[in-house]
Amino acid sequence: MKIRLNLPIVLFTIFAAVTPARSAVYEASTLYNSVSRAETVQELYMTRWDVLKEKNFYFDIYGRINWVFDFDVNTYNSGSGEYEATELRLTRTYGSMTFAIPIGGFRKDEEGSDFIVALNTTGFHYGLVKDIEVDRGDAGTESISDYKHSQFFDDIYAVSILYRPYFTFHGGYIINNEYEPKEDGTMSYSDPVESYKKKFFAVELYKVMAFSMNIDEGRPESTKVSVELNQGLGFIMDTKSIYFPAITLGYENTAAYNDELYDPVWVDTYTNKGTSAHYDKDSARLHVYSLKVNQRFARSFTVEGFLGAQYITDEIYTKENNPEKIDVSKAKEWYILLSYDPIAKADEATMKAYTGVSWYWDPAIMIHRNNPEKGNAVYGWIIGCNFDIVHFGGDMKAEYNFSSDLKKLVEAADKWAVEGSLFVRI
Amino acid sequence: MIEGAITERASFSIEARQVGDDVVITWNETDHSSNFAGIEIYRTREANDEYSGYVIVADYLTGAVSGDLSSGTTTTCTVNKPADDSATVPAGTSGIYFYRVGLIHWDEDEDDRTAENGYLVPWDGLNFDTNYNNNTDINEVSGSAMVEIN
Repeated sequence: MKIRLNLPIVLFTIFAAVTPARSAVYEASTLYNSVSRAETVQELYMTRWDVLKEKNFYFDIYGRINWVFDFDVNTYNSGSGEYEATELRLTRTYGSMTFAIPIGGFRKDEEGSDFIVALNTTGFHYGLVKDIEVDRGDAGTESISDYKHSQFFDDIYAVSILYRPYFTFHGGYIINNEYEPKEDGTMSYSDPVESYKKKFFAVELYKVMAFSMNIDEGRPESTKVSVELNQGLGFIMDTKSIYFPAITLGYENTAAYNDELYDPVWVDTYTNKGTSAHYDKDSARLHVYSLKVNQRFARSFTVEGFLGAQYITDEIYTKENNPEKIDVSKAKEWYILLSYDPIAKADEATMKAYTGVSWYWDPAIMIHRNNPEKGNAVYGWIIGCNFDIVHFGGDMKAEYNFSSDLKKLVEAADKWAVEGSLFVRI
Repeated sequence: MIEGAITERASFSIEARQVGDDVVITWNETDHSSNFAGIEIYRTREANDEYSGYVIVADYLTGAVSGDLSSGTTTTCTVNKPADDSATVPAGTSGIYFYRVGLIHWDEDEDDRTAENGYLVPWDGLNFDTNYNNNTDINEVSGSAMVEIN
């Protein structure tokens, strides 16, 4: 549900002022897409629950911070009175807090059953900041960070019901807020320039099938289904060997392209679009079909492979001065991850170290990469580790163009990103 | 919240205007902390560039044309315009400059301002200037205020 909208004219002015879209210097624009941001915060929420769902806990607090460097963004310089390519840093912070209430106590082992009600609040903040040096003379130099462009806050308020190991339900609201910093770099969080409120729910049955949907104004905005084949096969054959591959089939359907000014493409036609503040809009949905295989090949090592194919329902066109029809790749994404991942029970300490390579296609890649001529596909790389010593843990990683991060934010193309997280669980 | 805790962000607003050969700066924020060490005034390094970085033009040690920068309750001060201020970089004579106010704190509570923590002892008196330069940080910084200097 859209609460208030006063942005289109501002966006149109910016968009009209700075074309073409194909440039290493770009407007902070795709960040404005609440569809992908809602999907991202929901995915982060579900990823945290993937860890928590097998744990016996009453309280979990989790924080993550991620920096992406070298954003050259056209930014207004009040001194010169002009828009200039300005190096900014994208900061993303994510936090979640979960209270769990076991009705009748926790189960004794993973084969047993129990009933848990949990309340969760999750927040994800995106913001572009400019680091500025302050020379304090003999007292040295310090750095301050000024907010530039809009800051985005995506929050989830959810209730979860777990009847382990049979059934899991999550439901709640996703709230997207956008705030603009004042000219002097200070922020006021009392009056968002734009706000959306969406509903979401997710269910999982017997660890076999998962289904999730978020809904805006009564219509599904994104839908995801996944089926874990080995769990299903477990009903008819023995799949408990650690060397039996975990195979997951997935399907996603997203209202990805809506002819908004911040979208990377026009849908169906480019004629008469973007030439005034109001124009007829078309929509195209993105369908992604995926296969994931996780294979343990030694007691301490696993390899995970993912392959995603895509179908976009309508023709899409670039937003260049001379728009061209985009030749959509049938492949959306693939990655291979090699992990050192010793086996542990659900409530034992664990650690994991991993590295991997990926490939990702998106029509916005060429807008945000250093050399647009290289096209809409990029190869990526990741290295990271995480540890979980039952009541405390964290992770860290560095990545460049890795597909899972580009899926969250395509603006990160051709930029290094580093990330760290910590959690406390009682 | 996490990012805000580990980086310095503008947390209050100020106003600045040229009056004759001076620049008058006013703000509302006060600092009653026992670790308050002083107020510092910064301006942009170069004319007509908001992102050129900031240099200090007045602090507790050098003082301002007027305004007590040693008091956390001070909310106004006057500094020389860029052509005449004490910044150690070439100053422009005219153009648009941006000013900020920094509220400075000691790195340690008074009982911990010891030699082990890097202070000359006693931490105040004759050693105050050295300790101020070596053991203080910006605790709060204002947003920027633009002034067109004639």
